[in-house]
Amino acid sequence: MEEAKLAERARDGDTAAYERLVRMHQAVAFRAAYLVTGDAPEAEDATQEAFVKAYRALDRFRPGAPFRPWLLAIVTNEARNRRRSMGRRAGLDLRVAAEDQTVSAPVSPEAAVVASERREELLFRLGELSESDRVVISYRYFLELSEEETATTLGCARGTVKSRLSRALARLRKAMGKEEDAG
Amino acid sequence: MPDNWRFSEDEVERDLRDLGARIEYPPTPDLAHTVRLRLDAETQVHRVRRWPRFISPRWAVAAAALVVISIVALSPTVHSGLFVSDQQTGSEAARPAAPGSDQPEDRSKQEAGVGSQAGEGEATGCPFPSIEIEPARVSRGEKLRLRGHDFASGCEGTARGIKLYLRQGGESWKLATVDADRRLTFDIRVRLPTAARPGPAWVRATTSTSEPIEKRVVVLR
Repeated sequence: MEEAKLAERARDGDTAAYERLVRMHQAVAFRAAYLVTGDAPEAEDATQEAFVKAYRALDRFRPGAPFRPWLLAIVTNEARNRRRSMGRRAGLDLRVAAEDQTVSAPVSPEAAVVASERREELLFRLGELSESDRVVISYRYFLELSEEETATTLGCARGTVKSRLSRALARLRKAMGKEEDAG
Repeated sequence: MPDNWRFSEDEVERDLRDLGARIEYPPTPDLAHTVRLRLDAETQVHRVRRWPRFISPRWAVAAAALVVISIVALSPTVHSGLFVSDQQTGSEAARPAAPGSDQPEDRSKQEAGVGSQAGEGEATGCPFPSIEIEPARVSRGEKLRLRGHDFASGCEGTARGIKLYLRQGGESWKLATVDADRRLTFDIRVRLPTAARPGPAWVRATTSTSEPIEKRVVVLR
């Protein structure tokens, strides 16, 4: 059954339909919460609470609108509140999978090491950015949200997402250093 | 912005996309069923709270008034007052009261006072949550059963998102997050963290609306 139908039935009180809707989106919702809190149990709590809040707010969900960004806005808000109540800066405790030769063309061992180091550095520098920069970058590139979805999720205009993303990328490039520092 | 950064914006974007595809997140918990259980429990509580059709508020008020009148009419104080006035010719009425004493009135005042205090206590007392642990002495890594009672949310409704921790010294480990059922109880089995040290520890239950509840448990070697 398509998402819009499930959302409509859930709005009429069909919790089974809502359970299916949750199952469809729980992975991206949990990842979004994790990218904000940096803590798996907190992300789980935030996601669960957000799903319950979203159900109660279904009356305000515009029929026909995409459900995912609307839901992710609630998840992000809940995750941010929890991170604040945790009283500490959330890290970006992400792990990168080992090189998978099946998804890319075979590379030399040296090139693989260089690529792996670059990814690790990128992740480290990303973790050093402000929460606002980290969230806009990670939602756009890690969760692969479109600009429109990112805008809805973060509660701002599409143009604002573009400018925020551009500034965040500039800060990330700056953090990665200049050419003469590379050696 | 100078142009001599190590990476162009396009390169960084490409690397970020590549990175995004390789990130290993913690496993996604299955929340769908838990969320549905919470919502179903919530709906049932709302249904229970609603007035049944055959009991209109007007009839409820009338019934409540009848109950109050019955209590007053049948209370020992009123009874004794009635009997005393009925039996004024009896031995007690014939006996002269001690100087300065208004015994029957005092006694009825005392009884009325005690009665009203007891009534207030019952009427205003919210259920106080409690937890039971089985067994009370358990080895690290073994399972223990936690049962909660009277976990209400602000004297009404079921408490949701009850967080259970094991606390020992300055450390704490999260055990689970549960919702109370319609009877305001929960029953869950959790594993004692292996990082806990042998000795006394406390299982702590916190909700958003009440003070934390703690129960002692002994961690065995």
